[in-house]
Amino acid sequence: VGGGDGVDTLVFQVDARDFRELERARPYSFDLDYRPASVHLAGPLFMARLDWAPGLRGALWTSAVDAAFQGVFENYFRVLVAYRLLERGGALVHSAAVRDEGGACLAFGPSGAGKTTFARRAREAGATVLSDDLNPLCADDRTALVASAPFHGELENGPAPPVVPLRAIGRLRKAESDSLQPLPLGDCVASLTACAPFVSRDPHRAARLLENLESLARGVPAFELHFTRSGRAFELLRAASEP
Amino acid sequence: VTSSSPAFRARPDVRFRVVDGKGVLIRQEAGEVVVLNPVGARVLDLLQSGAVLQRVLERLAEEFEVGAAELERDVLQFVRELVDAGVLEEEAR
Repeated sequence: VGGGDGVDTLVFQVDARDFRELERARPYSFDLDYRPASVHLAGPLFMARLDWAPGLRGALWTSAVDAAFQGVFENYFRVLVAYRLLERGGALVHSAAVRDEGGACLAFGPSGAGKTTFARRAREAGATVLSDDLNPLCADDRTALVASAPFHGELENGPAPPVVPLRAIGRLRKAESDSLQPLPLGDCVASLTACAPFVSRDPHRAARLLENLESLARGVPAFELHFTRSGRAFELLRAASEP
Repeated sequence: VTSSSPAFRARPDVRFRVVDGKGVLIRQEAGEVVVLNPVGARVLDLLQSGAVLQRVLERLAEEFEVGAAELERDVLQFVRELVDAGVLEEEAR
């Protein structure tokens, strides 16, 4: 998988008896072991590792086939994308991102904050959903970008170019009425960090994550976005970020 | 915690960065991210640079317009809270 500017991954099919069955294993639950030059993953029907030697490369061992393999590979791929972004100045963030002709708006918050609701309302208002689950953030020179990726939650991702300039960030908060107020950079970076899976718990690389998120968020208008389920949160965020 | 205490340092699972004056603090084992106000961020930043508590108080007195007694009371309480929360530990000497 990959090559050139990509990341090489070796995939090994192994015997199912090499894995022990767990009674309450959940498909998207797995353990990570963070080491100075590698990250190890272990979950239902698979184990994997990322190595910096010194460039990033990966290996995956699994007994899963067909649909089960897709689930296993997505588990691995999410972690790989998070670390690939990290080493290139970016970050993977649990969030909803939508785009229109003016760029992308990113809404984020903890589980249940309303990411899918935000994306659905934005789509009804004419925007295209990039993802209502996980979005890669990266930078080109000094411009923060949202990159397209195959991750999605309840909503299917719409068509998108490889990257879209990030025009606004909104931290979601359910409220009785729609409104927004500026979000200080420090609060924005802290909240984005809390929504960055895998890397924020990595003792060897979390400092780089903070650095990347500060660099990405600086210069992008950020807001505390109070929103209702039927409201106009996207329109407010879009209007607030217009030059 | 008293002002004559030796230095404190962040525990191994803590990552910290000052962003536009505020402190962004990750407690990795707890999976928490905390924002510190500018004074709290400055305290932790000074402690992380190796300053002992007495030196932290001296620096803050120079940088902020606040009475010495109030400053010492507030900083000691803040450091105590960070120790209790598992953010800081007293540095062995």
